[in-house]
Amino acid sequence: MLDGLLLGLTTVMTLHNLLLVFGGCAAGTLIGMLPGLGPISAIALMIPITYGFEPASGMILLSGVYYGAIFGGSTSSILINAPGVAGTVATAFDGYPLAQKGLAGKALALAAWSSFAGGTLAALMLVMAAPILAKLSLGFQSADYFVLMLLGLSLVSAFSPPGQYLKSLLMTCLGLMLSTVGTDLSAGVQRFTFGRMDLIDGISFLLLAMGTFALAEAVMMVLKQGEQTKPVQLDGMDLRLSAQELKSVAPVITRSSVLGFLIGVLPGAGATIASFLAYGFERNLALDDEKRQFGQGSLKGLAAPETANNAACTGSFVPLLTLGIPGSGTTAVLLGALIAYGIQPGPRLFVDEPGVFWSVIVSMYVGNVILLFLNLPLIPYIAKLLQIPRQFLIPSIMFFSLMGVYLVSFNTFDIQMMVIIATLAVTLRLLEFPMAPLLLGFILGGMLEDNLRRAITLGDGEFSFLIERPVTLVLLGITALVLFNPLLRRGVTWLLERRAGKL
Amino acid sequence: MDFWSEEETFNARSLPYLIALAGALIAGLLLFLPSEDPDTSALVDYQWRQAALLLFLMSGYGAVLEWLGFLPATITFLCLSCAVLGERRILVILAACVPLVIGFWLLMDSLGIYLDPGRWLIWGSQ
Amino acid sequence: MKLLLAACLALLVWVADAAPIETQDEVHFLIPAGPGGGWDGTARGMGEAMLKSGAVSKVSFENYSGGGGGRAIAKLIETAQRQTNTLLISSTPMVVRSLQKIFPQSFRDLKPIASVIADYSSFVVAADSRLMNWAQVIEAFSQDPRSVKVAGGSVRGSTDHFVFARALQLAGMDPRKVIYVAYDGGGKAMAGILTGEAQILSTGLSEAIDMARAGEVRILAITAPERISDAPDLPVLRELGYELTFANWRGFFAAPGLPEARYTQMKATVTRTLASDAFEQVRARNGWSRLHIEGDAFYAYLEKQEAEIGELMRNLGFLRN
Repeated sequence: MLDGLLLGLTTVMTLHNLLLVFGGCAAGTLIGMLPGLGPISAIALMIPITYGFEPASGMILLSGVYYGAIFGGSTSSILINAPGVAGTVATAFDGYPLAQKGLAGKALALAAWSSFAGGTLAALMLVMAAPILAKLSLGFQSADYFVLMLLGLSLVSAFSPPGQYLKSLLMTCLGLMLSTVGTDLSAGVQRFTFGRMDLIDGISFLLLAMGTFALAEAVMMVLKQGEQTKPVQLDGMDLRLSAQELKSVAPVITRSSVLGFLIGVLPGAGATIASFLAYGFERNLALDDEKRQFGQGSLKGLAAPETANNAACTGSFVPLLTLGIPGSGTTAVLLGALIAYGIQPGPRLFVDEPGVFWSVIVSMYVGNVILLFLNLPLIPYIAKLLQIPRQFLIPSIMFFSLMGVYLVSFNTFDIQMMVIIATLAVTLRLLEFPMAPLLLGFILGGMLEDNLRRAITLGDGEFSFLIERPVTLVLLGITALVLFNPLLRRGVTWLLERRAGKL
Repeated sequence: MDFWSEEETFNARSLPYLIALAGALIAGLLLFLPSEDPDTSALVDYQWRQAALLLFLMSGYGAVLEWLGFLPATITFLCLSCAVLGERRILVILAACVPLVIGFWLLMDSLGIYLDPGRWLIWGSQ
Repeated sequence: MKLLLAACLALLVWVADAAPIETQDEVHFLIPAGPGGGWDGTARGMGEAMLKSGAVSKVSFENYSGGGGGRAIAKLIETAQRQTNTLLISSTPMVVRSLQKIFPQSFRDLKPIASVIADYSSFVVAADSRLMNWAQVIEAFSQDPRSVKVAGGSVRGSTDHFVFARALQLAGMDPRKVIYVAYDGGGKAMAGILTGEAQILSTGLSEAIDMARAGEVRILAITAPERISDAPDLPVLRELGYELTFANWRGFFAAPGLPEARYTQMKATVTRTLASDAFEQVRARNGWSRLHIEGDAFYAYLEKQEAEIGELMRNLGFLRN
């Protein structure tokens, strides 16, 4: 393994390749911040540039773009509540409230550090355990994915403000409903499309997120003009975290790296699911007074999804490099690039093309360091965006949100749909319905149904698949634990108190 | 639905029914369980007219985007939005919006992303 | 206010100038899907070869997804008059989706220029599967159809499904007994046979051949008319005694009502590109098989394929009319 790392280091540490890592990260960050251009388009557009390069150099550039895009996507999530890529939607839950409190600098810095830690820790795990993990990812069948999605849904309480569980549940149902619009994957029938061609492909997650978060927030800002006329004050641009804050987020970052990485390794999940699960888990693990801060600008609530999405991106390289299976749209494009370079990923990549394998891994470390040093100095300037007077800021937010969706589909129907969704979202927000559970239900709903239907077909129409395999049972167990967590906690406290009373 | 679906225990209709049932149950609970009504006193002071105008503008932008083409439609949209939000200095509006839109357009162009020039240009050329 | 008007006017003039001028040697690719998929890759590869071979001096790409590809077709028809440089990329699923009435248009509403490449279907098992050849698949299916569940990367009733069902029908089996499991894309379907939850995979040869070379999966049969030069060791169904050939072509269409001169020129441009070294490089890089059928012959080919697929789908019960 050390030889491998050395080989990778010597490949990456040439001026040419270092420049490529740098260029890729910079381009990726910019593209990630801009709405509409996700990592998939960014990489697909970059591939032709790389044809003249060595395969290792090409992969270094493309993976730099990939991490950069996820890294950059958090910036627009935090500053204007408009996630640039789907993986950073959960970042907005606590990142945006932090920025509204004037802590934009701190939030951006924490996001940068979390991304860095998540990416680096995940790369470490990739080096240590890639072959074993590849086997693990093949131990995951449709039934297990279904239970994993159930587990995600059981975390819904984490996405609800205190005392609004019923409303959160209702919003989750609404999210699940919206996820059934479009062509049903299993049977190929069209559901709830009202005969419109525009709805055949369903509603995109980014559209829903932009409509309910970015646009609805912009409209709310206009509505509440009377209450707050000044732009957000920035708190002296303090980027540093206090020792106490650092101590509280460090375990969050460690846990979320592992969780994000493991979810990323599974070909059927991905960075978005990873970030939602990490957020939900951390909220469940948090102490009562910390719990109340989630959704109001909690540092933990920002660190968890931001770490997990980067770790998941790194994790998705495991099935790609060791099995040749793309787990997401982005890795599918990367696979196409590898094959175009004449390289077949798979169990023998290690042996046949060690140079490519190890240089991609080393470039992950280098890329993460570069991203950190690229982004930290820029934060004070980026955060100043918030001081743009509102009569210019709000139209820009509207423009970027609309473009973010339009540039994906080039369909003006999507713009109209977003306006309708934003109007509904504003109404619901005024009635104090939370929006995050809607997104949770939507993102999990599609996969929940596909995997359930697949598991039933594979199980010959029976539901026994739920108890047939150990992986499924373990996941079911965790789900039960999460659901009954409040009860358990109460039980434990009661026991402890009784003990204390006896002593 | 095809004949496979009719045989399936859980087909394309099942989940929507289940969600609808769950949704109806929860909505019923919400209605009948006692709860605090949201505080509505602030709603009177809200800028309803401005917000509605902006929503209307966005919808209009969607309607004319492909006819006018990206640049004119977007510039008009941004300028009108700024005006709705109370900015009255026309030069300032133009100075803020035009470079933003043109910059964005140039960036997209350099990335090879094709933005339709708009249909009215074609009427002119025929 | 006057100032504003003047500024707007100046801007309009500038915009009109900046709009792409339709020159003779420009090709605009209309891609009915987002960046990164099969259609996108083919169009961009073709564009690259056109530029490098000097057949065309400027190419542009427009991704216009939605409606299973129907939106792009509708757009090309609606704006036909100004799309004289445009080539729409499409493939066999267009024929299937027209038959299923997912969109109202068909290839008849467009001007077929040429097909350029083809991908054959392949039936694939995991390397450690107990199924060693196609005969064993039929044997296992005849004993218990549930023991041979077939994975595919597209919805039920699509090409992956009906090609497999047809192959079994030719062996005297009931195609309606085929248990098809739909996955979200070929990669996840591949994972489906590797995890062991499905037994066989029906997918495009290009999606499976690299995995087969890496030794992770075995290809039991392909639907090419005869053995292919890139992988001569793969058995074709016809030599096993089943008259099934199926090619998923990818090709280009122009807008309806294209002037005759322009149509001839477009065909010549495609032919010239296909003959170039630049295209050969792109083809080899992506592992494509050539299938060049031009103009009227392409139209006739499409009609024949439509009739065949239509009969097949009705026959198998995928279409109800």
